[in-house]
Amino acid sequence: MTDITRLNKMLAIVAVLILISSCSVFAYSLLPKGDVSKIIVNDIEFDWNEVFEDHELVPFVANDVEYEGVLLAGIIEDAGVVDPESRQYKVTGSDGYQKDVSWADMENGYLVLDGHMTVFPELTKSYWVRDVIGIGVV
Amino acid sequence: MKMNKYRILAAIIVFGSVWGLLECVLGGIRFEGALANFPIGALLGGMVGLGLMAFSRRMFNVFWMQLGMALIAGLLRFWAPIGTCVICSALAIVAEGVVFELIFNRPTFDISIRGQSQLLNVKTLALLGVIAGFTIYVVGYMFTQIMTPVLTTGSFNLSNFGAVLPLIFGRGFFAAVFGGITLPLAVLVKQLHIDVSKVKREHYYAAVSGVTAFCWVFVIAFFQF
Repeated sequence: MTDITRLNKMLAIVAVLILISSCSVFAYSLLPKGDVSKIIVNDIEFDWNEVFEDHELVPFVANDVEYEGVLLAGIIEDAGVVDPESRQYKVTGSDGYQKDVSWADMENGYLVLDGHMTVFPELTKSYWVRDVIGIGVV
Repeated sequence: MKMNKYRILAAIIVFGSVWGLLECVLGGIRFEGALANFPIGALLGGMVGLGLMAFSRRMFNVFWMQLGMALIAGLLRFWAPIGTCVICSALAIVAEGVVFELIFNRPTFDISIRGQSQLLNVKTLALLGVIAGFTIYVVGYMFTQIMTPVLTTGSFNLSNFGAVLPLIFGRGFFAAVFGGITLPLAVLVKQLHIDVSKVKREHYYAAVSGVTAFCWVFVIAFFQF
């Protein structure tokens, strides 16, 4: 077998493995990991519309874009978290993406109806989680 | 005519600036509807980044030049505070440059003119492009997921990183496909390749200065004012 044939064979095996495995993982990531019409905060289930009816909508600006949302701290207090200042919070999206944030971040963070998203104006966008299905207390 | 170091330095700046401009302009695009899950970063890493790096490697035959391009592109990306996290994007670009150098500096995968001619066929380059596109994108994405929280909050959360890994690998599929298309095009399409060492000095530097100035002025004017 020539060098180039051997090289092509090796490259083909690796490339096919990459394509099949990454395509499968991508398809899996599209499956919702929870009910996207609900948000579970501290094990208490809230309906998205309910959250926005029960809390005051606050206009704010993040990354030069104007948003309207409800304060995350208010939702946490509503969920009956004891001693919320001393806790960390894990925000999870329907695709499995998750980020841990502090109480200080929650006090400055919002839940936005458009995209069912958390917005933290003072954190980088990698902390903004889309299609939020849960906020856990760590 | 031998390529002098100033021409190479100018090429690093101009290619890096073009890459940075494309990152700034395309990086903020968000698709709706059926394309909502399309990762624009995979297009930027697997097509724009890999394409420009492979093209410049083929044209200039200079190792580590592409890392310099990535540094310039990352620097320009800092001036466009839109779209995804600015630090994340800048770090990802630099990591992509490092990965490119690690792959293509190997004699087996030398795509420069002095490289093995037997490597330079569509099939081998397409397969190599799939691997390179995927690796460049995935490593760049993983690097930002580690470094961004460290640089912005001073901490790194392993469980958050573990949770995002399937997303990174899944989105890498698009980068792999783009890489498989882009690498053969960037390396083999003869019409794309000009012998820049034969371009007159004044024309070369005028073109490089003009394109570089356009990229930087556009980004600063558009995103800062």
